Formats: sequence, C-alpha cells, structure tokens
Amino acid sequence: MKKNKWEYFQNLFPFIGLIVIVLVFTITSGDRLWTKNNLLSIVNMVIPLCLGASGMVFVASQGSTDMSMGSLLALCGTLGGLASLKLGIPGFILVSLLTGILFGAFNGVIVAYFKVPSLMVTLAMLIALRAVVSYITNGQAVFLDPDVIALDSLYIMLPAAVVLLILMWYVFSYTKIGFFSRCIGENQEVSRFSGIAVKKYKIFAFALSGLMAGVTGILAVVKIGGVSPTIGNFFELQIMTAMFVGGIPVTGGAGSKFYKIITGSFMLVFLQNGLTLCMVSAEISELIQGSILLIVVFMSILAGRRLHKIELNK
Amino acid sequence: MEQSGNIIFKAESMRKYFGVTHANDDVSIEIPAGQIRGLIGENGSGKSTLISMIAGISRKDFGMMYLCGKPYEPESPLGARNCKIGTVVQELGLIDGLPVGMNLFLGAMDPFKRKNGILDTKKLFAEAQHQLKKWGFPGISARQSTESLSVENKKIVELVRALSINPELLILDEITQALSLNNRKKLIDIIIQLKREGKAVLIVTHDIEEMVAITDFITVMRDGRIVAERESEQTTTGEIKRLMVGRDINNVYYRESELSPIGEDTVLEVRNLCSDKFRNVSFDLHKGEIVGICGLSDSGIHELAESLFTVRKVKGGTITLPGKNAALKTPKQAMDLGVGYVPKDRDHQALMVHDSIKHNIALAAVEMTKQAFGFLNPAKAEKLSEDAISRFQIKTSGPDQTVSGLSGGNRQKVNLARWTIQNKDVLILDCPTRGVDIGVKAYIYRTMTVAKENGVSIILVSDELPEIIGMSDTVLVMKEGEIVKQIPRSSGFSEETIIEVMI
Repeated sequence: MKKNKWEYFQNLFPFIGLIVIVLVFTITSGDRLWTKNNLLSIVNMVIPLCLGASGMVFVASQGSTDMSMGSLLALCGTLGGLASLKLGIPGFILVSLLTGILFGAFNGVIVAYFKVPSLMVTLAMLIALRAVVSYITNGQAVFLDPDVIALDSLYIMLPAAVVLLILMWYVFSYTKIGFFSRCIGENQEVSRFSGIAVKKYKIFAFALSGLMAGVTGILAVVKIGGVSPTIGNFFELQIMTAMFVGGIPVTGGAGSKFYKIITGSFMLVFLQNGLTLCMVSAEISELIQGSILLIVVFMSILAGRRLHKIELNK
Repeated sequence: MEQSGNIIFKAESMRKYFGVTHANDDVSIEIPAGQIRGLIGENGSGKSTLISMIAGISRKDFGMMYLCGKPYEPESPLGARNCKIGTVVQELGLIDGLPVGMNLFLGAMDPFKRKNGILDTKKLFAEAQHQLKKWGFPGISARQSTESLSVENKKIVELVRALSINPELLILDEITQALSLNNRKKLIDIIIQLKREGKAVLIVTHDIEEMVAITDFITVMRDGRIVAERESEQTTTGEIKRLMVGRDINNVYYRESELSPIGEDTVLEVRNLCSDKFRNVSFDLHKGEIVGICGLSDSGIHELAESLFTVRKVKGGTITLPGKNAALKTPKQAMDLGVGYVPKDRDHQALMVHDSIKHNIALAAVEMTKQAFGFLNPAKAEKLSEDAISRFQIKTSGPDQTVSGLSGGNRQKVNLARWTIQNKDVLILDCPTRGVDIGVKAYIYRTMTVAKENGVSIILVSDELPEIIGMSDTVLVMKEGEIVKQIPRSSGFSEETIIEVMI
C-alpha cells in the first residue's frame, strides 16, 4: 500500500505542479492570464510544443535523445518554404515532412547500426543542419506567398494539431511502435531476446521525431511568414524541458505516457507566459524555469528511490 | 605460532544464500601449510561461492574464517590481498586499457608513489618486470598493453599478480584450462615450489585426472556442501566422479512415461551451425520430442540456444523448419513461424523487471493482442495476463504488479507462461529451472510434459544433468563447442556415462 502512495505521488506531481502554477499566476497577474488574447497566445505556444514532443517522445521512451529537432525544424521549414514558392501549399507540406522523415531516419540509422550514442549523433546534426540552413538562406530572411501565410489561422491550425496529436497518441499508446519503444527503453537486451527488431524500431522512432520536426517547421515558417535562419533555436531544449517536467523518465521505459507530454507542455507554457505577464525579466524567467526543472528532477528521483527501497524491502 | 600448528587457512560453518538457494550450506575446510588442496564439484555445487568468500569478492552470510590462527574478515579483494591470499578467479579480472605492469599492482600502488603523490612508473615497471621474470614468464613485457595479450598470457599476468604478494594461500579457480601444456608445467613447478616453502594452494579444476595427479588432498562439493574429502594418493578419478554426481536422482518430478512416442515429422532441422563459440552443430527435432542439450557452462550450449532463436550471429549453417519450408533468419520471423524462446538470464534477458506482468506478457505475445490498424488492445493484454496468472498459479496481486515484486519462481512462471499460452510449435528453453525452488521446478517439468503431449517440440538446454536425463527424449552432449555424443532415451542414460564424455 505504501508503494502505491509513492507511485500516485510520482504520477500526480506534474498535475499538481500545473494547478499550482496556474493558481499562482491567476492571482499574481491580476486578470491578465485569462483574457482572450492571452489564452490565444498560450494556445499558439502550446501547439508546437505538444506536436514536437509527440514525436520526440518515441525517442525519449527508448532512452535515447534527439537533440537535432530545432535545427531540423529550421531545415524542414526552409526547404518547404522555398519549395512553396514554386509548388504551392502541397509542395510546402510534402517537402517539409519528407525532409524531416529523411533526416530523422538518418539519425536513427546511425544510432541503430553504428551504435553511436544518440546524444552525440543528434548533437552533431544540431550543429551541422543549422549551418546548412544558414547556407541555403544565405543568412537572409525569405518571404513566402500570401496564400501560404494564410494557413496561419487558428481555425486551421488548432483542428489540424488536435487531429495530429490524437494520431500520435494512438500510435504511441496502442501500436507496436509505441509499445516496443517503451520496451526498448525498459531493457534493450530483453527486447532483443524477445524477438523485437530493435534496430528497426529505433529508426522508426527517430523518423517519427523527424516527421514532427517537419510539422513544427511548417508551423514556424507560416507563423513568421517567411524563412529565417534562426527559427527553432533551442526548440529541442524546450521540448525536453516540457517532457521531463511532465514526468517522462530520462531513461525511457514504461513510465513514458503520452498525457505527460501534454501536461508538461502546458506547465512550461503557463510558467513562461505567467512570468512574462508578471513583468519578470527574461533572465530571471529563465532562472526560474531552470530551478523548477531541477526541483522536478529532484522530486522524481526521490520518489523513484522510495519506490525502489520499498520493492527491495519486500 | 606453534599451536596454530601448521593450519594456514581454516573456515568454519560457512553459509551463503542467494534467495532461497543455499550456495554454501555449512562448509568447513582446513588447509595446512605445505598442502596442495583440490576443490571439485559440478557447476553450481558452491565451489566458486566458497572461493569468492575467501577472496573477499562476496561476503559470507554466516561462519568464521581464520588465517594462520587469526580471525580473517576480508572487506574486499584488496583486503584479502593484504592478508596474503592471492587469487586467480575464473573470469578475466584485468583492465584491458592499462599496461601489464599497472595491472600487476592494481590497487597496490602505494609503494611506488613518490612523496608528491605522483606515481613512479619507472620503478613500477621495473618491479613488474622483475616479478614476471622471477616466476618464469620473461616473455611478457610489463609495458605492453594488456589488450594485446592472448587469453593465455592474460591468465598468466593474473597468476603473477597473485604470486607477486608472496601469498600464504594461493587460490586458482579454473586456470589450467586456459593454459597450454608448456605453461601448465611451469604452473605445476611453481605450485610445488610454494608447497616446499610451506605455503598452501587451493585449486579448482574440471580436469579430474590433473587434479588427482597434482594435489595432496581433494575436497568434493555437491549442492553447497562438502560431501567427501579424500587423499589424492588413495583415490581414483572414478571415485571422485561418483562422489561429484552421486546424489539420489529423484525421478518423481520428472516425466513419468519412460518412452513416449515421438512424431515422425521433423519440425526443426539444424545443419552445420557454426559460430565463434560452437562448430558444426547438426540435429533434428521431431514433433513432440524433447531434445536435451547439455555440457559444461562454457561448452557453447547457451550460445547455441541464442543462435537457434537467431538472436546471436552465426558464421555458417542453417536452421530450417521443414514443415513450413522456411529458414530462420530473424527472431521476429522465428516467432511468426511458431518458435518460442526462454533465455538463460531471466532478469536481464527475458523480463522487463521494472514493468508490469501485463506488459511482460504482451512483449512476447504481442500478436495475440493485435487487432485491425495495428491496434494493441489493452483489454486483450489484461485478459491474457489474467489467464496466464490463473493457469500458472502465479502468486501476485494482479496483471499490473511489477515483476520486481515477484519471487524468482513466480518470475520464471511469467517468463514461461507468456510462451506457453501462445501454442508455439517449438520452444527453446535455456536453463528454465535456474534459481527456482523445487515446487516451481516440478511445476515447470509438468508444464513441459503437458506441452510435449500436445505435440510441442522442446529444445532443453541445461547444465543440470538430472533435469536433462529426466526430461529428454534425446540427449546431445556438447564439449568445447562440438556435439560429442548423441544418446537416445531408449538406450538409457546415466549421469556417469554423460559426464564421461562431457568433461
């Protein structure tokens, strides 16, 4: 029974955190948190975060890391944006998504077949792809056609995002790709001995992460109305923060649940938004975000230890 | 000094438990000065456990040890070393990235420290070279990287490391099989020299003839106890072998039918399978047959099991399913074609220990929970787990319990249940009863018998002879990577005849 208490606590912690954050900022911001305009901006911030995390969660649940998402997002958006000048909206979407899948799968192949730690591979990609983007755009912003920019409407974006999230939730929670990813994170050796094609599912996971980099690339480019070499800077870190704050274990495994990336994303966005509303300077805001992440990590380690101890004492 | 006589090492009532297994149960041993003592027993008889307690590698649960009359409580292998007990363990214990000299004095480098704390490597290498030369191995350079040495030379470095402290007691665990004839002779000379100096030597080896030849006294262990002590001059290899295996083979929980019909159809055909751990393995598995593969732990039997499920690479040869006209290439394909696999290491290869029973069962039986659009139905996984739990009488609070909260026997039931419920045609079981108690053992044997009667073919890999003999229709004996003998049940097997070819 004692064990259950800690398990509940571990699972409830992000929800409690979210509620606390919302309550604190409802009070401190005056009524500014719940105005229509502010809610819109919260939704606009949450959508890319959730979508990005819905791809990266496959990699994270395997216990790997995908650092390349920010740069890959920029590359997808850039190539898609350039394609849209000639091919219109279909070309825009297709090129973005394909670029994402392709480079994601490339990450996966290197990780799976050459046994290079994913952190190294994707860190290298983070740097290299950013350089490629700068080279393609020549450091300049490129503006898109108005009909492409017209996609930036909440009436299109919100339903599209919800549909995509439901799809990713289904794939992650109820198909072999998601289940085997969690098994691989739980214990790769066991997965291999149980007949799972570990390499294949690693490539799938990175490809899905890349695909969502493509999706978020489309969002980012449409939002700013053009291609710029700095889009998506530090996006991968934002997503990782959201995932870990939401309670996805750093080592992956069975504790990786889809709802956690949604709670985590909302937590992070409410925190950032609330701090801005309270006129907290950017530096202090980042300091607070960092501290909160530390607290979360500490709490989850603490809860994990307690669980472990209780299991041992049995 | 006088009244401690010349007993160098003494252990009294040593006990060590791993869960429910008594790895050492009331073991007492006395080794006088100038004696070469042999320690022998089957795999799992507790000799390595005893040695690791003496060498400070693992802690005893109960008992007392004395060294030269004084109580001896090693905290760590280094502690044992400081008390002048030199040990060469079975597994290689060297750090590949360091030069030979560093490995020789690993953890004992203080004498080579300068005042400022920096290591005087010149002095260290000189001393290391001196030791290598002193014990008769000048061919190995102290500055050489350990990685570049052959396995045999690595063993020698370990031996010299143990000798370099001028041990009162030298312990050698299975060292001779790594050595060539020439170096064995050198080793025997060294041992005899130690004997003359009034030191004690404790040797573990599977080579009984060698043991009888070089030791003064032999201690035989079985099931965690010392069952006999013999003077080497007055015993024979035959007697030692009988003492090693001479338990009453309790047949009650094995198969009842002595000779049961086996189908004509070959369900699995292995031809000339080769890898780095075994060579030219060929055999047929018929419908409803249990093929037992036995051998010493390092004979390649476990690697063979892994290769049969294609999770381990092979260099050549084929595994085919004649009935399905297919050759096995990947584990996924093997599973789809009705092959199930229970690996040897339950907690590291078979089960996700920190995940639920439900997920562990779904891991192997994922196709049984699958519906249209790749939908894995959680309700089906739940149902499947509940069935498995009730059919196998797994003691648990429910399908959502984590495996780490289960006892070893119940874990193994989960492991076996998830394959049995799938109605596979072929099951590869590697040590299915390792680390489980008698009750669960009997249950697993019953399950195997029932599966056999239902036409399931089983490959049983095990280093426990009684279970191989009790369960198999055909026994394949492996030695050093090759099948040296194939014995059908009809000809009747006995432990003695199998051991004869196995060792």
